[in-house]
Parts: sequence; structure tokens; C-alpha cells
Amino acid sequence: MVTDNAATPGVKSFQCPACGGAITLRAGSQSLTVACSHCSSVIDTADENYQIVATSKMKERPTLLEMGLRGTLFGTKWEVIGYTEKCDSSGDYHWDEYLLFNPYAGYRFLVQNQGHWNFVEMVKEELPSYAGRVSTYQSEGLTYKLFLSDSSRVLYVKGEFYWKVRKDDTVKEVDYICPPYVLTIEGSGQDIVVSKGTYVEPSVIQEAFGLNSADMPRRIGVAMNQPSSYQGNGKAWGLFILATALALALYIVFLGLADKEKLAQDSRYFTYADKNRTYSTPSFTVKKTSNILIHTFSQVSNNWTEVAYTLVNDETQKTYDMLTSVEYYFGTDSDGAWSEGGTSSRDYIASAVPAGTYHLLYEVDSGYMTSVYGGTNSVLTGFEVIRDVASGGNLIWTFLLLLAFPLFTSLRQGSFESKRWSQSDMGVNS
Amino acid sequence: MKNAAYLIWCALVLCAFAYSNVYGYVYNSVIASQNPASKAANRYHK
Repeated sequence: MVTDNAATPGVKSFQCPACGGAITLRAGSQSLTVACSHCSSVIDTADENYQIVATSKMKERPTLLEMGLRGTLFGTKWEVIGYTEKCDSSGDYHWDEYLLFNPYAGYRFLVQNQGHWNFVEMVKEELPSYAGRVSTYQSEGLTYKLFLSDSSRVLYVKGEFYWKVRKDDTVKEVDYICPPYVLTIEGSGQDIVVSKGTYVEPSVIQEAFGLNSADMPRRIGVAMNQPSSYQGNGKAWGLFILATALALALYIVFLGLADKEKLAQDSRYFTYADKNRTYSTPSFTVKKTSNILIHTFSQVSNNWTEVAYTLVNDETQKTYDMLTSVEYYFGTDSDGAWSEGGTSSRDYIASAVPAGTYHLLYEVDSGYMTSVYGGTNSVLTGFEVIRDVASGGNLIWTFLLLLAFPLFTSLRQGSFESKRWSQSDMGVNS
Repeated sequence: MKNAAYLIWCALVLCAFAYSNVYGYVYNSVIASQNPASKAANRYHK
């Protein structure tokens, strides 16, 4: 017995020819196949006699989105009318396809795969003969990359469908991606359909259909068309280049503006007798808050000199200490000539030294300053105290601080894309 | 959003760089590990 549901136009009801249970067609005469919710038999609804296409011993099982559930997605109210569970050719990889219906907007699909969701609509596109066989495909001004070429098999059906569906139906499938979109070419020969999926955040689906967060499948890995939150870091690199250029320009300006004022200097031969002897410079004036650099030099040759400095503020007695060494070694070995170190060093003794009067204490020790050293027991050592010298170290720190963000996002983006393409049979791409 | 945050970060870093140059702030390993055992310092503080 067939009845038209007067309360809901387009809705049609009949009895299952296999079990006699009541079946309601939510999309009315547009549905060509329906799976009985009582006995799971698949029935051809285009046939006047409601012929059974396939019988099933499987009981209907619950699905996350139940048949008849309604939700508003992208401004349209959709009703869930069909469900298929599919798997790939290996049988290891399963996904859910829900058929949505709206009497005015037609049909759409919601595909759930490892907690990732796609809203899919059919594309009325004339396919060139090479479609499905090339590595990139152009559509609507977008370039899609070939991601997967496989087949899909229907494992389970529930609800009604606008095409003739049955368990174990197998179809060839080629996926091209351009996140957040996926273009799927299904079928072969003349019977080819193209669909376009758009990645949807699970929270959007949850809200649209009023689902409990505990029921939502956990998102695993990266979906083939999942947009990366680190995408578009080209702008960050652009900003980095601009900021680095600005920092460099500032450094050049500060190099030019730096006073580089020499405050004190000394140089003398230090002997064994000078060991543990502390010398002092005359007092000098630091005119304004600035850094103070000491340039130390010592005539060492395959030897070392160490100088301990203490800068003392005459008024406050505040001190700044520094121990510096000058070492220069050279020679030849089986690889040829080698050398390391040098005869001078440049070190900042203090940062942002307040204006005032200071003197410098220094004490020298050296490998030369021994009582018996091959006849040579002195070393010429000296220094210059210079105020306000632009620091290259600050420029390097600035560069590193500017680099951190774009470098981090690029590494994350690389890792994200690597996870995405690890699922592709096209190998790693970008 | 992230790029706007990065733009602010760039501005702050450049300001810090300019400030450090104007007031003579420097960072290097010698200052970071200022040697309190400096012989001259010990002798002075005695």
C-alpha cells in the first residue's frame, strides 16, 4: 500500500515487500532506492512493485546522524535521508557518507572520515579526457593536486538514495585537493560524476545538528584537504625581511652616530715581577650612559695572556669586572698549516654604564711571565677603553627574535603538509 | 590575526633594538658571565 503524506508534501510511505514494515520516503519520488529500517532490505522505489534489490541479514545500526535529523548548514536547512559506509580497496580505511536533502536546494553529502568532515556537492562540469590521469587539475580558477587514486566499496546502506545503491557496489575514485577543497572524480567511461568537498570544522557540524561533543568522533591526523592554520606565512616572511632591513638600517645609523670615545689606554711589558700586581688608570669621565668596551692586545705567539679588569665608579665605588684572554697558537700538522686565536680581543666590560668618573684596575698574567722561559720573560700587553660602541651582538639578537615566528610557522607548516601527504599515494608533495 | 601579532612583535623588537643602542645596552657572553673571581676585583674589594 502506497500513501502520500499530506502533512509533509513530497513525503511518500509504503510497506516493505520483505517484512511489511512501514517505510517513509523523505525525498518522495526523487528517491530511487531505500533501505528498509526494519529488515535492511534494499528496495527499488522506481519500480511500481517495489522490487527488492538486495536482502540483508544485518540489523539496522545506529549512526551519528540519524535518518530524519535536521540541521542548518551554510544557511540551508538539511535533512539526513541516507547513509553509506564505504571503504577503500584495501578494506582498512573506512568512512561515512550522509546524504542530505532539501526540497529546494536538492542533495548534498556530509562525509566523515577519522573525525574530519566534508560538505560535498555535485559539480556539473564537462570533464576533459585527461581528467583523473594528470597530476594537477584546473577547476573554477583553482589548481588541484592529485592526492589519491583508488576505488571505494559500499559496506553498509541505510535510508534512501536518489541513485540505485547496494552493498558491495565498487567505483573508481580519484581525489584532487586544493585545501579546503577536494575534487572527487568517480566512475569510469561515460558514467563519471564529479563532486566538490569543502572541509568543515567538526564544531560546525556539531552545532548544526545539535550533537553532543562526547558523541563526535575524535579527529585523527591531518585530512587531505584540511586547511593549515599555518598557511599564508609568506606575509610573515615579508614582514621579517622588512623588519630585518629596518634593523640593519638602524644599525648603520647607530654605527655612524656612536661616539666611540677613547677614555683610557695603556701598554707596557709585563714580566714575572708583575704577577699579582694591580695597576690602575687615571680617572676618566663617562659623559653619558653608554656601554664600555675594552680592546685588549698582547704580543703572544704560541702562548697566552689573561687580563683581569675592574672598572670602578669613583663616587659610588660600584664595580664592573671582566676577565679576558688573548691566545694565539699556530703550527703545522699532517693537514698543513693551522692557527687559532689572535693577538687581540674586544669585549664589553659593562652595559649601560651611568655617567660619572671612573678608573680601571687591571692585572695581567701570561705564559711568558715566568722566571725561566727560554730567556724571554716579558710580554707587551696593552688596552684601550672605549665608550659608546654600536653592538653587532644586539643586531644578531634582533635578527634572531625577528626570525623566531616565521621560522616556527614554516616548520609547523612543513610538518602539517608532511602529515597530509603521507596519506597520499602520490608521495610527499607540497 | 597572527600576522598582526607578528607585526606588533616586530615593532617591539625594533624599538628594543633602538633603545638598547641609544642607552648603550649590550649583551655578550662576557657580561653574562661576569667573573666575580676576577683577580683585580678581589684585590680591590679586599
